Amino acid sequence: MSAQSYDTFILAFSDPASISPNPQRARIPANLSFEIFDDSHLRTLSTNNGGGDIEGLLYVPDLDPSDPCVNISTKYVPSNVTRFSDLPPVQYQYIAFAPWISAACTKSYLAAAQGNTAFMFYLPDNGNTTPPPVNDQTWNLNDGGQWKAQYKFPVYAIPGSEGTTTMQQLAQYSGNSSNDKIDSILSEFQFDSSDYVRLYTSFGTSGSNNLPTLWAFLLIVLGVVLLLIGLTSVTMHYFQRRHRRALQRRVENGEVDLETLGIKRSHRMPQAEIDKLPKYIYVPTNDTPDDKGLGQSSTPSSETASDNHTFFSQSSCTICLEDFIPKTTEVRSLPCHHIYHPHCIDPHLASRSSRCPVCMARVLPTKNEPITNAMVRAERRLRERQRLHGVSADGIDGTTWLTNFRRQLERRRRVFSAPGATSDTVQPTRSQIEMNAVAGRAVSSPLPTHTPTVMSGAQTEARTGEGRPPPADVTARRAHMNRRLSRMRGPERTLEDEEAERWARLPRWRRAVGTVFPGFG
Amino acid sequence: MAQKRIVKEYSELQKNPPLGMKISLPSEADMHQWQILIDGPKGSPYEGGVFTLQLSLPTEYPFKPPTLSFKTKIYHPNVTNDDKGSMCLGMLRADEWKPSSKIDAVLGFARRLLSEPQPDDAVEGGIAREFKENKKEFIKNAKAWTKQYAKK
Ligand SMILES: [Zn+2]
Ligand SMILES: [Zn+2]
Repeated sequence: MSAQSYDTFILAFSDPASISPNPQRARIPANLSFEIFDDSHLRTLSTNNGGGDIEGLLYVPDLDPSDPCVNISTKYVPSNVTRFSDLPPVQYQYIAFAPWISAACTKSYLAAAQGNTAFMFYLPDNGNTTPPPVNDQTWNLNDGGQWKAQYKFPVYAIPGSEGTTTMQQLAQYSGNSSNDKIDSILSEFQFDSSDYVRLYTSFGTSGSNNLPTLWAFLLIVLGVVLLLIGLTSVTMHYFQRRHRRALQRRVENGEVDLETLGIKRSHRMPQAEIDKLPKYIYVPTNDTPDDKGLGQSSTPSSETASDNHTFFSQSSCTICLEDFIPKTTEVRSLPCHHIYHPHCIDPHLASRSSRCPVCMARVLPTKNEPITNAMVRAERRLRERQRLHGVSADGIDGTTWLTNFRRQLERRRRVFSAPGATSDTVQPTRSQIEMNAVAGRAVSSPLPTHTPTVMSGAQTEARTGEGRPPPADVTARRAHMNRRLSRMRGPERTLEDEEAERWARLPRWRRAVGTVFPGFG
Repeated sequence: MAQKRIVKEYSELQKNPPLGMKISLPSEADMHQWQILIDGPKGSPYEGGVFTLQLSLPTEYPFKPPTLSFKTKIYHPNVTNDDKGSMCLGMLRADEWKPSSKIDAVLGFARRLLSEPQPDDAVEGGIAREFKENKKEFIKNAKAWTKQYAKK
C-alpha cells in the first residue's frame, strides 16, 4: 500500500512480559521528547501489504557480523541504536529502519528484517528533499526489481535529514532506565521503571496528500465531459437555428405554406407584437346597426372623425362578458376588428393562441410568427411522409382523391349541423370607424375587404375547394397537394398541443436532454 | 377574471334557465363545479328521464373549454359508457372551443345532442353502429336505459 505521510514519535508502554494489572501505553508529546511528521516527502518504494495499519516500533536490523556492511554502516548507525532485541518480542508490530547505502547493504538489511510490518529507508545524502522516484536508478538492487516481490512488506524512503535525526533518536531511546531521558519520561507518566520508551512509526496510507490529486483528476475528467457536452449542445443549437432560419426563408419566399401543412394553427404572440395592436377608447355605434355590416358603412366618407374615439357595435368583451363603458373603457382591437379589454385579450394572445377568440382569425401575420424547432421537425416529417407516400403533384390517384372528397363532405355536414359553431358568434358590424389609436400609432387602412366570418378549421378546409379535381397550374397544384398532405396528418390538433403533450410524457431527464441537445430524438 | 365571468354566467342562467334544465352548485364554495339536471327532450328516446350532468370549469376558463359529463348512465353514442360518462366533441373539444362561447351554448349543445346523436363522432362505437344500422334497436335500448337509470 502506498503511503503519503508518516509519523515517528516516542511511545512509552508497559512491558508486555510483566504481569502488570493494567498495561498502558502513552504517546509522549513532542515537546518532551521528539517527533517527525512529514506528509509531503515520503516515497513509497514497494507497496506489498495485506492491508491494515502500517505502524510499529522502530528498530535497525542486526546484520551478520561478517557482513562488510556492518562496517560501512557504522558511519550512519550508532552502536547503541534500538535493535530488535531491545523491543518486546510480543504484542507489537515492528518497522525496520536503515540507511540506504548501497545495493548490497540494502539487500543485507532487507534480509535481516525480523517480524516486519514495513521497512523504512533513508538516503543519508538526500538532504531534506523527497527521495527520488521509484523507477530511479538509486533504488536498483541489480535484480530487476525482484526484491519487491521477495519481501512481503511495504518499503518506504524518507528524506536523508529526517533519517539521520531518526537514527540519532533511535540511539537515545533504546536501552532501559540507565538513560536519564527514558527515566524521567517513565516517572512522569507513571510507568514502571522496567517499562519501555521507544520510537514508534505510523504510515498514513490514506493521507490527505492523495485526495487532492484524485479530486483534481476527477475534476479534470468532469471538466472535459462538461466541455464536450457544452460543445455538442452549442453545435446542436447552432444547427437547429440554421434549420429554423432556412425554414423561415422558405416561408418568406412562399416555397412552404406552414398553415396548409397544418404545422401552425395557433401560436403564442410575443409581448412586443401584442403591444403593437392598437388600443382605442370605446364608443358605441350611435346610428342603427347596419345589417350589411362593414362592407358599406365603413367607407371613409361615413366615418365620424374624432381624435381618440372609435365606434364599435360590439358592446361587451366576449372574454369577461363585461360591457364596455362608453368613452371610458380602453379596448384593444385585433386586425379582425373584434375588440376586448386589453387585460382580457393580452394574456390570451401571449400564452395561448395568436388567434381572435371570437372569429379565430390570426392576429399575427404568418410571416412574423416565430419558427420553432418543433415546426422544423414537423415540416421535415411531413416532407418525409410526402416522399414515402409518393405523393407528388402528378401522382394523385382517383381513389384517394375520392375518399378525401367523401370525408370532406362528411366533415362539412358535421360542421354545419354542429350547434354552437355559429350560435356564439359576435360579428362586428362596425358602422363607424375611426382609427386614430390611443397610443398615437398610425394605423393602416381600416377598410376590411370582407366581413369577418366565423370559420372553424374544418370550414376553412371545406372552403378550399377540396371537392374539385386537382387544378392544372403548378402553384395551385402545389397548394392542392399541401392540403392533401394536411389531411394525411390526421385529426385537427395544433402542433403546440402535440409538442406539449409529447414533452409532458417524457421523463424529466429526457426533457433536460432535449433542452441541452435540441433535435436529439 | 374566470371567477367573475363564471359568476356572471351562473346568475344569468339562474335568471333565465334554459328550457328543461335545472342548474345548481353542489357546493356554494366552488363555482367551478356545476350540477345540471336535464329533462330528456321530447320525441327522443330519453323523454321522461332526468339526467344529471356535471359541468366542470377549468381554472383557465374561458380560454379552455368546460368539461361535461353524465352522472346518470345513458345509452348514447357520444357519451362513454363508464362511470365517468364523459363526452368530448364539437365545441367541447379544446381545439374547437372559443373563449367567446358561453355555458348557455354548451348546455344547449348537450341538449341538442340528446335529440340528435352524432354517430360519426362517437365514443361508443357499438352504440353508434346500432344507431346508424338498426335505429329501432337503438331506440329500444336507449328507452330501456332511460327507464332504468334516469327515472324521475
Ligand atoms: Zn374583458
Ligand atoms: Zn375576431
